[in-house]
Amino acid sequence: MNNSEIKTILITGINGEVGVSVSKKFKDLGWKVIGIDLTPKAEIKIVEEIDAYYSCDVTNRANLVELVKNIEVEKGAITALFMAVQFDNQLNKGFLDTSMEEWQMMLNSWLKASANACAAVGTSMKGRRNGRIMILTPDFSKLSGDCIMTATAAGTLHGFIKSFGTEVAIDNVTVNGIFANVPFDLEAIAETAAYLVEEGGYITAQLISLRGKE
Amino acid sequence: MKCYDELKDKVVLITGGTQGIGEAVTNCFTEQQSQVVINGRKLDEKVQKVIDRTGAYPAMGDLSNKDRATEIVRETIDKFGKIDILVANGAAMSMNPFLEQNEDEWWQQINVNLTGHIASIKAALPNMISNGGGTIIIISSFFGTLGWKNATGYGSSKSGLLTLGQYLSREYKKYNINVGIIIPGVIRTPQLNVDANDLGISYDEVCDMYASEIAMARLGDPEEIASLVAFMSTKVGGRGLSGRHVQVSGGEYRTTPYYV
Repeated sequence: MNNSEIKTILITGINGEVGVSVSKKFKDLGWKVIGIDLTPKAEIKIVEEIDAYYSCDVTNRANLVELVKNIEVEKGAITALFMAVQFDNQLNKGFLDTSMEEWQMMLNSWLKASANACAAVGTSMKGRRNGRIMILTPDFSKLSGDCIMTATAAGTLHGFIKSFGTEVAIDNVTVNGIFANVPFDLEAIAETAAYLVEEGGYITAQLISLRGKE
Repeated sequence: MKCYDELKDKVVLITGGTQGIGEAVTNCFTEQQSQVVINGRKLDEKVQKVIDRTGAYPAMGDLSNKDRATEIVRETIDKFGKIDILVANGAAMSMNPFLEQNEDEWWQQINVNLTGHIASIKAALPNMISNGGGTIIIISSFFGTLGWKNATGYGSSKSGLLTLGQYLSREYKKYNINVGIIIPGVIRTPQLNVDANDLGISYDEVCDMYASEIAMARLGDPEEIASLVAFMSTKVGGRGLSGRHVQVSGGEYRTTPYYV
């Protein structure tokens, strides 16, 4: 990516531990950081450290598309997107105890939210022939206990990332999944995201597996 | 290319560091101000130019000779006192249908690409352990993960390297040794001449043919592999990606990585 460009990253789920860690890394690198989360602005931990914050339900595509359009008018082009879904409260129930409504909520949190965010930034990134999209998709394989529903919902992203990545590769938009073991190594996630954005221009449609904290 | 302060003065041995991806890795670590040792089969005029340009120390020799593969590591340690990073990149490739290929020619690929690197890694590990850690970067290939027509020997050696890296990472993690595995896609290197010859077309034609099949519609550059080697050699990049593989392929050859 050309260092002379004004570089802006949009981070969804910015109030979670991954969102905070990635935000700090990109601020250190001199990027403009814009955050999105469901949480009201007053409760955002790093609101003073980032360049703008918007409270938005990313599972509502129309609202998100409109918001991103306005952000790009007011703040300039978004060159990178980092999707960090928060999931801590989704691991408490086993497969048989999770209702179909709860499953649908998980699917919305993972697949719908990511698809919506990609739809919101993807068209303008294609138009500019420049974009870096990263989607956090946790790897629960090292955890004990029943993670079936959450892992399945997050697993839908694997096919999405590879498929969408191949569709927009021709326009120099990269799409990669950061497939990180739980519990997360936050520093490794942030550094890998920075590498993918700044130097990983030929890496796309991949799941990048990362070790977790041990 | 990004420079990492922590790579300055690191002792790096790069097998096959004289051309293609290996030469780009040599250039990269020279930029990082590391102490670079390069291995190639023989010191010819072209290799001498790489040495003159980068200041790299030559430890030449054929990796298919297991003793020589061990000695190049010893030469590195003798010269610089230690080895911090070993980049297992050197490769031999010959394409022919399995049932028609000369057996010695077939095994030469396994002997260089896999057995030679096992010998050099075995020689490097005790030094890395006594130094409190180290990094091994393995350059595999999508011919190994996918399989490829007329490339059974090369593919076998490269899938072996992938597995080697995964299990090395698990076994030697307790010694602070990281093992990163890179799977390049189609990279613009002289090795594509082998593909061109196999297909009976020119180098440019084979480049165009591969590019037309790649999602990004272009071949990769060796520097795009070298930058990942450097990142995987850093403390945080190495820690996060140890035992993992990353495919640098312009969107082609996608797999879901699961690990031991």
